[in-house]
Amino acid sequence: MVRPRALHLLLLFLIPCVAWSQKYPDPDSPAVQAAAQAALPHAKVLTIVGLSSGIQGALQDLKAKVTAHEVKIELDADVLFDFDKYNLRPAAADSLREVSEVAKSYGNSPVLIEGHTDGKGTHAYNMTLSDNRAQSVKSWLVQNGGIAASRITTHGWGETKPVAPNTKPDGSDDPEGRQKNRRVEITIRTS
Amino acid sequence: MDGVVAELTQCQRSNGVLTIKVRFRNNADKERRIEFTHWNATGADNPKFYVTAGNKKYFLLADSDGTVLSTNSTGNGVDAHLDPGKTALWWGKYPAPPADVKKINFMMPVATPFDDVPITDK
Repeated sequence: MVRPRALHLLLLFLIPCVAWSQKYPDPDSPAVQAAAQAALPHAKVLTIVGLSSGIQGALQDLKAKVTAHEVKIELDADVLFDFDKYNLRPAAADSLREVSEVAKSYGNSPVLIEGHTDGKGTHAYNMTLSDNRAQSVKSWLVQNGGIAASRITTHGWGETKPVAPNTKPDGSDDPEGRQKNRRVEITIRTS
Repeated sequence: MDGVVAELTQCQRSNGVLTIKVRFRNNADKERRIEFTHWNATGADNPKFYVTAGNKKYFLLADSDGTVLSTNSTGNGVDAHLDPGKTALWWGKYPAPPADVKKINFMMPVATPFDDVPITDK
């Protein structure tokens, strides 16, 4: 016996341009118009409290880069962590709460958390620190943000992927560059 | 859904109802599956299908049977396979924002948010 769902899929293969079989096949038909009018008194409209523009506000606050395939958020490690530590500072909660809201808005899309350090310290130490920091962010999102652990993978890159020079051309220290390199990147794959 | 492009083709307000249409096109060289559910899409705890304008959040309309006024191929959602080059249309009916609202933002689960979409009045 062909189950209804399977039958729908079968129909999809039999017609050249996909038209999804459904209770209301034509959005512009009088039947749908009438159903919409009848539904209006029961419509659900909520007032957004707090962030004035919901997810859009969170994306703006986080300076997220949204492309066709992903949402990328870069968080300053100096805001998230104390120097040389991987336990989160209380001040990190605001940003991570917004990250949670954004991640939740993308259903079950996978989330990648990557930790990065500056060029100070040994490679082994930086790899461990960046990995621990990525793990800390994951733990917060799971325990406080309601994100399923199965959605999240983490990776620590240490100092291997700088976004700015750690030293100036004359070889002296570049504190601003190093600060940019101390970061956590969160990528939500959306397609 | 690598290779599938979602294009918002209509955002029209008429008689208090906002109609949104999104066309999916498979630009990949292989079949792609489009799957999502409208489960509880009329409720506030579903973060997947809504329109925002100002500080308001609008959810899909539903008939007296609880069927959302939207594309449904599986009873409460969509599960379809698109061959290369083929297109498929998703649509949804929402309560319309007030007449002075000229743009909306639209969120659906299988595409990045559509921002500042102009409303066409009919």
